[in-house]
Amino acid sequence: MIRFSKPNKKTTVIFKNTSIPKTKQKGQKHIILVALDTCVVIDMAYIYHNLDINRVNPKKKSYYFALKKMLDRNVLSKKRKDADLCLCITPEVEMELKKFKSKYYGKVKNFVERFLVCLEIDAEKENHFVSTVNTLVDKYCEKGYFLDCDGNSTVDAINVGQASYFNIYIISNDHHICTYRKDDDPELKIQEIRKINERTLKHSYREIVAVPKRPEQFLTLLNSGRRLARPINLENLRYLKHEKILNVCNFAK
Amino acid sequence: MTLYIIKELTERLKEDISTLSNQEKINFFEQIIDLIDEEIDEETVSFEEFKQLIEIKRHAMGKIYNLKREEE
Repeated sequence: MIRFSKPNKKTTVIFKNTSIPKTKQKGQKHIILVALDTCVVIDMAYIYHNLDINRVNPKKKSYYFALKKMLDRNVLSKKRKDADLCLCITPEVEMELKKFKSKYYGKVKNFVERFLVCLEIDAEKENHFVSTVNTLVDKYCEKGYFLDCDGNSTVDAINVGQASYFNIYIISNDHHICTYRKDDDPELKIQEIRKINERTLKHSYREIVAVPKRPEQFLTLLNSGRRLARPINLENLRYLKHEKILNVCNFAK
Repeated sequence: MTLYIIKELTERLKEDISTLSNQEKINFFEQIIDLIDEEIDEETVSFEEFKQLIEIKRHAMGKIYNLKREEE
């Protein structure tokens, strides 16, 4: 269990890796880090700004409701005192969302700045990060996942690889990333990704490996009270980002 | 107008660029990204079009990633 504590603060922040205790110790807060895929960020920003969820396509309702719930549980949203999610984006997603000029981009940018934390890597650890992610991408590619029509790896592979580097669940609605009901064996891809992450990142057999989840699946997992994956490599974040996560957690008290 | 641009960009992504050098291919995809980032009129893009443009940008970024790794 990773513990961050700030001097002069009574609260200790604990990144959750165990089931929710029946009685939380006073002054302790369980924060779960989750990475969001680009489309999820855009949809969440849209929900935050103005979308009436009741008017969306009925087929997508559960997806939008799950996003809204996640947004409500975000420690930065101030809406719930018991909020327990810290919504993050990988450096790749941040790059994808950079610069764009549309008025919608303005809303997304504003949303990202206010409510999300970018997992920016420390310059000294950049090589380790890039080479580990490249290895993960190659292995996903070898297994035939996250490929484009020419058989090359896509940014989906990079996003999953970067979230996996931190052992953080990546939330996506893309059937290329998550389980897809039309696949012969929808769970197979997830199992293969779990194996690749486990071997490449050298998890011990007792550790839980984070894999891509749909928002609805992730909320079900949260509510089930089962053990969750423990974030790793957070010490390789840029100091300011590390601090920001700490601030986010303390802010949520 | 934006729909026309989306169609154009989608077609450009399918162009045969096999005769170009790696650097030229990278420039080709970077131009597409720049066009999306800088040139598109911000007032005329709808939410759905915005998402489509991001998808095109992601596609181009994936191509650049693979080309740069090939070069390495």
